[in-house]
Amino acid sequence: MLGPGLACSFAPAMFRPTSEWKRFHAWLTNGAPQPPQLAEETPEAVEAHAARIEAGFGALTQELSDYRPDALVLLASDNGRVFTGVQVPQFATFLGDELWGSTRYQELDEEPEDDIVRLAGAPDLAAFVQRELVRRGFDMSYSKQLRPLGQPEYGAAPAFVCPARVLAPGLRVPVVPVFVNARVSPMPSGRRCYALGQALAEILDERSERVAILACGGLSHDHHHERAGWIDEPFDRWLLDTFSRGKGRSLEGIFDLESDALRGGGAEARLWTIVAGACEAVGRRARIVDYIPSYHAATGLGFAIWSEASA
Amino acid sequence: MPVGLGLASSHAPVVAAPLDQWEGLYKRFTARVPQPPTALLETEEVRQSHFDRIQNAFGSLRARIDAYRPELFIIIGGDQSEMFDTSNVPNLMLYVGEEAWADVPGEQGDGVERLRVRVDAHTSKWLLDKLVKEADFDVAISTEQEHLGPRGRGLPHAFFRPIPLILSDREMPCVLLYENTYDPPSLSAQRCYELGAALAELLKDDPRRIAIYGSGGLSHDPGGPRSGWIDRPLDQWFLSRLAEGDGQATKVMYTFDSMTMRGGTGEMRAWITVAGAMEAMGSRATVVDYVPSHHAVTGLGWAYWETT
Repeated sequence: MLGPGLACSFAPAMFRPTSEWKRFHAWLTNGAPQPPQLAEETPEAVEAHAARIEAGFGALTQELSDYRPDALVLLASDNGRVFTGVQVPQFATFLGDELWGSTRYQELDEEPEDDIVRLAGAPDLAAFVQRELVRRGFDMSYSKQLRPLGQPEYGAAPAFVCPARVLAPGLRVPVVPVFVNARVSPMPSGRRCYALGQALAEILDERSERVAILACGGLSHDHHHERAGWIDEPFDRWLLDTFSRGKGRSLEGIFDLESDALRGGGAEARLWTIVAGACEAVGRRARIVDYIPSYHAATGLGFAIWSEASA
Repeated sequence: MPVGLGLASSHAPVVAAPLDQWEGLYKRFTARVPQPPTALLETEEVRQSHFDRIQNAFGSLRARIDAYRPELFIIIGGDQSEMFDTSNVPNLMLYVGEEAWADVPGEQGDGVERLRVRVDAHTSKWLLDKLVKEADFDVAISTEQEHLGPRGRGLPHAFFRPIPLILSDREMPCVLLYENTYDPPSLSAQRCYELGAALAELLKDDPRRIAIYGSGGLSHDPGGPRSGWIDRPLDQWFLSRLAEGDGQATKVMYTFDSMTMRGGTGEMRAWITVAGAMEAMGSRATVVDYVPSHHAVTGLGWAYWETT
């Protein structure tokens, strides 16, 4: 059965102490001209952001622990660690026994083995989800073993392993990881993502397990690119407002046009769209836990919960 | 000219092997499987006639291609642990590099020859964009060729085996479209048909002469529990539907599980995609030949679709 839907942003700073934020900011923005808001964010404001991030994760963690899920469907985009030019899937289900990944960054010369997160897979449920999605006309790729071609020693992207550890302490909840291409053009349309969410809701409804869905990615950012450091607040607020009104379908067409707004973190709104598609299929709307346009994190940080209770 | 010529054929090992290797191939694929009584009827004479019919059938496809002179050639084929290992198995993938290759064993099993395929990267990329962003097909993206599968030597046999048999012009610009025909769970037949229709629609205003070819099938399960057996009723029903322009009927394929639907029979998906494309162009198949050859461990078929 379909439990709560959860979504949170992904930025490296969210999982590191504020003392490390400067280093990450420098890496993510790489000399790009910065917006005035950055200088206006005082150290106190940064500390306040860190506290709100913790509270945001706290709210999601509470929702999960209240629900006591048997499994967690984990939606995120690869960042080039696993998939290279050899082959980038649009949607891929991980069917293996364990997904592992390092929370450290090769680009910053951090050692992978300093912190490896291992998530138990849910191969039976994953195989069922895969089979049913394909039967419904989703041309899903699958992966039975993790073979990271981009950064072999670092495993799955941080967006898969970092939030899972924070939200499911002890990692006793097995995961069904689904890779969603929000990085390499062409990427799936909003229609496709919304429909994938709807299909997931239908498929999970058949199962006796209690299954929650978590998307990790976005909100607006342009890490490593021209607009790195800038945050498209109107876009983020529109997204969150749209999800809170149960109008996720409004994202069906937006990716049909080309825009800087829809690159980087904007492209990752696809992940949230999938959760909205699933939860709106059972009549739920998002409760926005918080939105923090954090210029030191170089990312619009959002947290949302589609509770069972809102049905 | 939009897509004006469709073609499909089997690609079993025997189609590219001299007759004196057939017995060895047959034994290799059927070693542990009791064979149907009709296999005994395949005397040397019969095998010779099958061999001749295979050459004639490929000759017929080649002649259609030479007469049509395509400027773009779309090849649809699958994989069997050659290009892909289990870390990343696509249901659909387009290769958008400039050239593809395969190291093909020599005819007598001696040495290796590199087969090179010229890829129309521009059109491939264009199709990838359209299929993903507008037509709702979740096509994986490959910009670099690297085989990860344990049996890999470049392009899978679905591509390298038929190419020399049908393409006289080895400089032909190609589009290489992978369709998962072997690894469950695989595409529904309906999806495969719709993919063909989508390709025809996308290319309908293209000024070039375009041909589309599907590689694989018909019923077979080499090395499987019924290896060497052939589901003739299925093959004949399938070919009749295509000849009647009723590829829609083949959408029922793979909607149920059975020994006959597993294994290589899954490759008939490539034919269904060609049918989807060509029926969208108002064409129906001409079946060139059907040879249910136990020694080929495959129901061997050839067909083409022309437009007026």
